[in-house]
Amino acid sequence: MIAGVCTGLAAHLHLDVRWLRVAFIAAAVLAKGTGLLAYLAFWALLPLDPHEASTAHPRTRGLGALLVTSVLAVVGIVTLTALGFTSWLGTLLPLILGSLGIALVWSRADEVQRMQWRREAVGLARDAAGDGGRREAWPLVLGAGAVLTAIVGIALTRVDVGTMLQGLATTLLLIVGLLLVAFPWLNARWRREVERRAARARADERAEMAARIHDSVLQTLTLVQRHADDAPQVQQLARAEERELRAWLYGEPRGAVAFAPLLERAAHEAEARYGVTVDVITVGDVPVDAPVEALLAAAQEAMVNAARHSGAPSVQVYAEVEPDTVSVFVRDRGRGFRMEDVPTDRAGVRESIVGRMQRAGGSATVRSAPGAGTEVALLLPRGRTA
Amino acid sequence: MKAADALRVVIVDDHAMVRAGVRAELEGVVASVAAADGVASGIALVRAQQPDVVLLDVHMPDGGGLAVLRACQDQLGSTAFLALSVSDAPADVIAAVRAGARGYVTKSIAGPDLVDAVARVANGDAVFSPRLAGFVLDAFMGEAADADEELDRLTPREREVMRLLARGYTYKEIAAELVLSVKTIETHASAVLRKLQLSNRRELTRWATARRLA
Repeated sequence: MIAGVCTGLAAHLHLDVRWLRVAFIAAAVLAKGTGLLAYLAFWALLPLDPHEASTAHPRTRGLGALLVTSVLAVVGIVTLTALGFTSWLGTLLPLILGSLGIALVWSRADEVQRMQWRREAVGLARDAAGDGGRREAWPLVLGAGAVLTAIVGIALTRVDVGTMLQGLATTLLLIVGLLLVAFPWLNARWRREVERRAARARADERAEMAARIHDSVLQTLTLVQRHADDAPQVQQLARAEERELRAWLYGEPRGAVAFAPLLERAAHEAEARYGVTVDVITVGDVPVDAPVEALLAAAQEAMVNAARHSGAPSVQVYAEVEPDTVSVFVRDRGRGFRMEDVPTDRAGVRESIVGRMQRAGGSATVRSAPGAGTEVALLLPRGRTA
Repeated sequence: MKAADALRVVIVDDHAMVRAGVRAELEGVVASVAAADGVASGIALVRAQQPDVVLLDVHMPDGGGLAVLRACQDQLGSTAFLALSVSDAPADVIAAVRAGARGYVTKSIAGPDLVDAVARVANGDAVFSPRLAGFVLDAFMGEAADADEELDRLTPREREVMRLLARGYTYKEIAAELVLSVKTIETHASAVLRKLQLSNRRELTRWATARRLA
């Protein structure tokens, strides 16, 4: 009725809600608020949907019942104490507290494991582990705390320190002895496990390598054989394959949010489309914002122009990120042209390169002469990109 | 100044196709070409022939070009080593140069450029591929924390030369661009190579360590 605890418990224990409510209220009135405390404890600790908890996994149900029993036992003990059976308290309360803590830890562990299965099934393990793990942790801490408190409680009330230390020493000796006996077996087992993992890692690596070679290298070789008489085609295939393998082997930066990899990709596209070699050399890198995006687009246009019109077999691209400027140079040793000869209606150089750079706050200069190749220099001041 | 046709060249590469290709490019242009197919035979051949230039594959079994360079340290004064590789990985480039190579070219280099590079290292100059120039700029970027400032920093002029090399300019084109003589550009490039070999900049040692060459 208040937080649905009675309803939930009733459903869980297959009891009538009303009986539970009466019990709680009776406990609250007769035992100086114990019922109220128990109610709050249930509200805080129980899973939100007891129906789901009891049906989803059979083991949860048993542990949940244990939990409920423990809480009820505490309530009972406290009630008895309040009614005058004081001598019970010292003995039983720590025990009850301990079993409650264990029940809590076990049931939570069970739940966490179940959640993990579910996550793995959906394939979301990575993003859920971050904060989900933390949220799962506090009941465990609470449970462990209860167990410890119980142990300390028993120790303080029942056992004197000397005896306890003796007991501890005996236990320790026993554990050491057991470990010594079991050591060869544990060691062998551990080593086997390590070996097994290493073997699996090696096998995975080999499988990945095989998949890679099959997907790209073998395919390319097949294509090369088929186009054996078409030299430019073969060269282009080999070049594309080389790039891909290189990126894979030397782990070129993958996240495509930075300037340098995007420039590489633009070069790769121009290369694939026009069958010329586009060599890109970058020094430094910078995150992509609107002006840098404009710079990239202008650079791509310059590469495409060089690949399409220059007639040169290769294009050299150099990009450098300095503290105050980003610059890109696109150079070919092709036939070159005169700016005056370019028809005014051709958008290529004037609009896509010069205009675009100016709008982004930068500049573009084209140096070209017939027969001497072309170099497009793009400069973008970085003050404006910040 | 040695002319190209007076040069004796040795190729050390474990790939028969590369040996044949390089031989085809150089034969008739240089005085002689000999080839070895591995580290041990390479060291023996370099010791026996005392060539002017060794074209050295960086990646070979048994230690690669580095092993050959290390075994021939006493010959660095008379024999110029030019590293040859398919790899663009900075660690390989930097390690080869720091072990004494006068330059680094990739195996995709065009024939005339290779002849040019061989002649250049034979005369004590440095050979920078555009990519090596890019690595240098990358490695010498930012402030140097080390005490030896002269070695750990490029002068503005050296930086300019490296930048133009990275943009694909030849020494001659750089000289024209900066209104300097080709000889001056070569001097700058050699100075950068020296810094590349001797500087203790963190980036260089990191890359070199990646190839187990601290």
